[in-house]
Amino acid sequence: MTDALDSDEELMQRYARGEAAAFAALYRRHELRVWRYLERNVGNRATADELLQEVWFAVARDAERFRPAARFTAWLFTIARNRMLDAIRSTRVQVSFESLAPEADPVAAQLLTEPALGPQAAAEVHDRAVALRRALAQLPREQRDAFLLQIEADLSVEEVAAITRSSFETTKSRLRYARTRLRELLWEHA
Amino acid sequence: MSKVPPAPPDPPDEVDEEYRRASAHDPGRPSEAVRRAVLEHAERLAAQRSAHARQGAPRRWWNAVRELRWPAMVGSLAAAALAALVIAPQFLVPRAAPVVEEPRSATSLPAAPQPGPAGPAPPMLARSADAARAGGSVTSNGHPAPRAAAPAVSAAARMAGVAHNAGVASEAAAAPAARTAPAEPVVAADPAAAFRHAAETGDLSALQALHAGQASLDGRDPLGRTALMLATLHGQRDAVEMLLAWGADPNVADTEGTTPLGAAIAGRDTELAAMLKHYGAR
Repeated sequence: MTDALDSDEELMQRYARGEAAAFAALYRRHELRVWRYLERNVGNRATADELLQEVWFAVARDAERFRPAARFTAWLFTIARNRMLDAIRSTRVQVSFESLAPEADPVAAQLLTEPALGPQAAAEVHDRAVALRRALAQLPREQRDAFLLQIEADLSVEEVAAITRSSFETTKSRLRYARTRLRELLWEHA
Repeated sequence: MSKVPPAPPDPPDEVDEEYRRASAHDPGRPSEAVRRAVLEHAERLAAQRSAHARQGAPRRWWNAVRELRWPAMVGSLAAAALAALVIAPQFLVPRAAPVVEEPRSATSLPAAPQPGPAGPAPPMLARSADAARAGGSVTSNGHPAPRAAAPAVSAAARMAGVAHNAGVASEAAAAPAARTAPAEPVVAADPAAAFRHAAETGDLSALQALHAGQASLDGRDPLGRTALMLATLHGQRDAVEMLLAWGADPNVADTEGTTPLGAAIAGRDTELAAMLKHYGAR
């Protein structure tokens, strides 16, 4: 519980001094958000897994260089975004959303038969998750990136602008367009 | 100074709400193999760092001594020379000189032929010693000491300046020290909403503070979700554990009839599901 009460920055400093438990606490805290950010940008679970591993390897390696002057989440998502863009640029990663189809998504398919939820609830849950991913896939890349950075990393517009190296106004517009488009798509689905 | 209450979260955008709800139900999770690989790698690096720190400590100390040796020697010589300048005149001046003792003559006396810099010496000594110290540290080892203080100030300023969307999270980020401080009761504009937000984002210090401020444990949002439900949906295990330990009802379903246990199962989070079951979730 002590780890859980420490700030991200304190945990990073402790890890930099050699405390593995501090890293595990940090990882537990941010694993899912980073993975979602990656997965929803590249549209592929296996690629997101691969990138997630690279990101956290980089965090572990560069822990001593981290300065608490920066917010950890901003630093973490900057690494995640850079890794993702490098991979896309080097054509190692093809952005595709093929996994959106239920039949291509074993986890979602399994969820459809989830006994704890009941068949109707499970189907609704599944539909909603798929609709969201489809809607995200239809956003222009910059808008999707900005929106996911903000919502998954809980970043301010200023921080998103800094990470994406865009102006405040541009970022604000991207976020507004992204939300408007998502609203249309999700409500259309509903 | 009283703690600033966590600002109530921005009015939730319906798209954000829908995103969070749908993502929480999205069973997609990173693979267990990645988790293992990352944690093992991090552990190896930590072990190497610890070992390196232990081995490197004496060497670093010796290097520091070596770096400091020249400046120290020069500094000592300079101090000795200055001391000689200050002390020597006292032996050279005749005893009769201290006429200063006569109050009347203090202003009217002609300037006594006091040799040398005995009067103004102390300020000069202080100034030159400071200068020598500052000069020595900058020129000799290249690590100017005053620079160390600067990041701390800018860090605080920068952290405080972060305008965060989620008020509770920004509160926590702006004052990291507050996370470790014992929780003090906090009264927020909408304590129940702030409490749920803290649960959702895993901000344990805010959660503790709001709980101490009597925020309702099982208060619900418009979708019927309690803090426990939100913490579960977002995989905030520590927050879930804390809420359950405080007596949060693990069987409160949201407006769609999903319970925290159902959400944990949908999220394939077996650890959370087991924890909820342990506290009586059905």
